[in-house]
Amino acid sequence: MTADLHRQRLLKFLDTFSSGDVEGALAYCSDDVEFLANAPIDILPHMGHRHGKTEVREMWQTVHARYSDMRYEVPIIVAEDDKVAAMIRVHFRKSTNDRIVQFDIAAFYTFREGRIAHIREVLDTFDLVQQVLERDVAADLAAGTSEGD
Amino acid sequence: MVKDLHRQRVLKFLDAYYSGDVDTAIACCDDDFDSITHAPIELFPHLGHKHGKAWVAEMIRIQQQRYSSRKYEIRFLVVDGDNVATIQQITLRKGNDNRVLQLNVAEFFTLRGGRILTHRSFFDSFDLVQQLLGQDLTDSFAASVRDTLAR
Repeated sequence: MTADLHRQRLLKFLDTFSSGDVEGALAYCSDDVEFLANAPIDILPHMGHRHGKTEVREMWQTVHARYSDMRYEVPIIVAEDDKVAAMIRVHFRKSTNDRIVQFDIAAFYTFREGRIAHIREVLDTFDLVQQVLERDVAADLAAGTSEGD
Repeated sequence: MVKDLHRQRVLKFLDAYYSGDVDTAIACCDDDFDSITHAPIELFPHLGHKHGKAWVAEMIRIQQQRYSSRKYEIRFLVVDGDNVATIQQITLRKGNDNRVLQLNVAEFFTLRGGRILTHRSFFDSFDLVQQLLGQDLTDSFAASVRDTLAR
């Protein structure tokens, strides 16, 4: 069944990506793969909108440079025809100070001829910004101190 | 087919939720309804982890108080066994100043006995905070990111 093949392919893709094998992960994608994750790209430059393997490669290499170790779990995976949605819980270790960043991603994949042609990610970006900055942004906003420091 | 029933149930829930039909929305949910909306609860105390379908009625009431118009459009929908996943584009018009907010919401629903048992929801929360404040926060924090990454 097509959906089962896509489900298995996605899980292999996630294993390959988290092992640090960027070229292996790209092999699961179409040449014109499109990636979109709504996020403040000034703060999280490795997200945003990418089109084609070259741009996606550059983004994933940045991710792997920033994080020395990646683990993930998939509590929910939903596959139908050429579409797969996955809730992914990721644990990244920061290269700079070994601290762990943990967050959940809602990821949506569309396959074309057996390869991933479109990736859409939605996540709690406010929480991710706080973890990346190691700073309580909500408290800053409440105190009106978002400027400067 | 169970898959089609689940698809219809979730679509009925979303229609009822955004049209403000509390009774129908609640009727789509299991008594043990459990919801997690991934968002900063310091800023959105009505989100986060909630249990019980009374929360659905509360959410509809809160949104109706804050927004004069609430619309949704499905952008992605998949059904597999008891699970349904969606992306919706949501358009909200604020009641106090008529400003329009737009966000994409990703949701995972797990059904039991034809009703929604668990609900997991995600959105670009940083962007929504900026839209609500009417203020670009990225400049303020981008310098901090560069400092953090340089350490």
